[in-house]
This record gives sequence, C-alpha cells and structure tokens, in this order.
Amino acid sequence: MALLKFKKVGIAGISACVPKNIIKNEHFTEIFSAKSLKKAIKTTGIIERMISDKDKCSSDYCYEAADKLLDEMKIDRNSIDLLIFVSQTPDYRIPSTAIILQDRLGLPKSTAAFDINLGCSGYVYGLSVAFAYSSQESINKVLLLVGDTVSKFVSPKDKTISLLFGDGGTATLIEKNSKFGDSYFSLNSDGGRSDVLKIKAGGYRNPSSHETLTPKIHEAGNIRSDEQLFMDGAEIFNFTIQEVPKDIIKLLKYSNTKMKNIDFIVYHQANKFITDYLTKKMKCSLDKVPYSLDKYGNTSCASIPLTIVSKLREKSTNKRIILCGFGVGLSWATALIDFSDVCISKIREL
Amino acid sequence: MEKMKIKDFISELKENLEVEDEDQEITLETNLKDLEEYDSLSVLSIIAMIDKNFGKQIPSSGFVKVTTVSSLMDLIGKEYFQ
Repeated sequence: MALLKFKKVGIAGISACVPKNIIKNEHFTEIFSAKSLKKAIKTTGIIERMISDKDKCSSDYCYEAADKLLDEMKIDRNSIDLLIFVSQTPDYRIPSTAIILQDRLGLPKSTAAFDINLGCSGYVYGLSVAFAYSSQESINKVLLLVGDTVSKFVSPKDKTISLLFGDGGTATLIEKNSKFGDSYFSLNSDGGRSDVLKIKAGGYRNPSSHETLTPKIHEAGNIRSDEQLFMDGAEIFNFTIQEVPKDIIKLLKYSNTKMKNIDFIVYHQANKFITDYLTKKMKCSLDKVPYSLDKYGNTSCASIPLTIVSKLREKSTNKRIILCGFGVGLSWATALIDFSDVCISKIREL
Repeated sequence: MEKMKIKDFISELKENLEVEDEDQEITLETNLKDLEEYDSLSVLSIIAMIDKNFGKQIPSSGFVKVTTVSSLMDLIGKEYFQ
C-alpha cells in the first residue's frame, strides 16, 4: 500500500505558464449543434482553453515557469539537487526531457534529472517523488516541472474530447525546511482499465504506420486516428465515483484529519460536473473547491498546480489543502499538504 | 435501500436529461436514443442519478445497449423499483 508520510519537507514556490492562444468553446459550431454546445459548456464548465503554438512543447512552458520562479525567489541554481519532469508530451522519445531542461535552466551537472510519464495523477505522484528525495540528507531543493500539450494529440472532430483540453506548464520548488508540517500521500493504479483513456498506436505495442495515422470514423460519428486520444467518458466517471472519495477518506484517516479541517480540495480539472458530484457525495462544501477549468480546460498533469496558481495565489498561506489527481492509467493519487509560506508566482503567458 | 417508485424515476430522468419540450412525455417505452437531448453528457447525468439513488455503477458497455427507459431500468435491476 503506497501511503506516505513526510516531515519537514514542503512546497516553497509554484509558478505556471500558459500559451497566449485562446480557443473559445462556443466557436465549435461545425461539429456541435448550438443546443448541444451550450449544454457541453455548462456541464463541463469549460468555456475556453489556451492552446500552444505548433513550435512549442510542454517543456517550453515548464521552462518559462521555472526560470521565472527561480529568479523571483532568488534561488541559486547551483543549489538545485534534482529536476523531475512530469509529462506525456515529451520533447523526444529519448533522451528524457528533464535532462534537456537541466541544461536549459543552467543547473549544475550534479543535478539528478529524470522524466515521469503520467497524466492526470502526475502532479501528485511527482510531488510524492520530490518529497521522498527531499527526505534524503543530501537533497535540499527539488524542482518539479509538470506540463502537457494535450491539444497536439486530440482530434478536433471527436466530440467526446474536442472541447476539453488545454495546454500549459508549471514549476514547483520543493524544499527541506523545519517550518513545514506533515504531508501525506496515497498513490494507486488500475492497469485493468487502461483502455479507458488511451492513444492506441505510435508506441512499440502498435507501431506507427500509414494506417494508424489515418483518421477513422468511430461511434456517433467521432473522427480520430489511432494516434489520437480515445476517451470512454462514462467509464471514467464510474471510476472516479468508485475510487476518488474512497481515496480522500483513506488519506484523511491515515493523517488523522477531519474533512471540516481541510481548507481546500484541488482536483484534477477534468469536468466540473464530475468533481462537483464527488464533492457533494463526500458531503463537503463546494466553497472549498476552486476551479480553473473554465479558463484553461483540462491541462492534464498541470491542472492541479495551474489551479493553485490561478485561484489560490493569495489564499493558500497556512492552509491545509487536499490535492487529488485521477485519470489516465488508470492512476490516481491524493495528497494532504500544509501550505505554509508558499511563493505563488503570477501566471505567465508564452 | 428503499425501492424507487417508477414515476419518480421517470420524473428525475426527465429532469436530468433536461428535456426542453414540456409536452414531451417520457414513458417506459420511450426510446432514449430518439430524444434530441440524449448524448454522452446525458449518460454522465444518468450515471450520477443511478449512483445517488441506488449506490451502483453501470459499465459504459451497458449504456451502449440501452434503448427504452424500460431497458435502462432492466440494466439497473428491476428489483430496485416498485
């Protein structure tokens, strides 16, 4: 069972960078009727999203966020011990993008660097890894860069997903410091349901070919290729109802904390209907749940830190916050973090 | 768990589907797929409704087979209704 507890390690700073290009969902009249478009926007809560330029990668948004955060916090770059890059849209298949970022950010060669390939649960998983390394005597500062450009593998002609996703990158500085209280993590996985959110081809199981790149007509007239994202929305909702409240309650029990003492729950920004339902199911107030998906959509692993940066910038000090990421894998993770004095940078655009 | 009255189920279903036409009657024989409002987002509402009222989840493969309101009730389990 992956239940983790850490002491004297915490989040010192968070920043985010999003693309400048705004796509408004109300303009998707080619594949949606006006009525169904209005309903989709109302149900998901997603009004608009930021979409990256063709020549930009997730790492570019993460770089921008990290570069500015390090400058703003006046961090000596030679003091960074580890860089972790969490993404499902790396620069290359090999080498790891984290290593390229080590060089771009001017970090020393003594910095350890590696990628983690996770989506929706990626921020919480990445944070748990950063916290774990920071618990080592020699590790004092870890830079966690988390971002995705999901728009690059979504078919605009697939109604199940064309309105949902946005792009962006974030940077979080994790430090060892006695000012930080206890933090807790619960990490889970279910590979038996891996088909529910998948890009079927382009890896080594089903290599790329002319056939896999050719768009096909699927259920309800949705068009996508095998190298574009497939999502079974109903099955994902079933999964979140079954697993997410259970995991939050498990973590509260592990940390001996009551829900009434939690200040905020920051969910992965998948769909407002889903997360409002989960909140009500746990008999928790919706006032504790900030949302950024109205403006940024579902930014995959970046959605939790992006929500913190955009919605909790002046509200996080001395707050106990639950972070809950769930989705592709299937993979889900919950964290309970004491946000003491966190430097939350103003959101940037690239 | 107390059994749900069929008329209450149909009424809640009509509300969740956000059927605009007030004169549109929803009966056991109504084919959901014929309703303009029935789409993938309606399925999410119905999943929430089933969870709230019956504490169970229906796999998405089940929803693919749903036609009439009666077939939806069969999927949930007729034993849940009075």
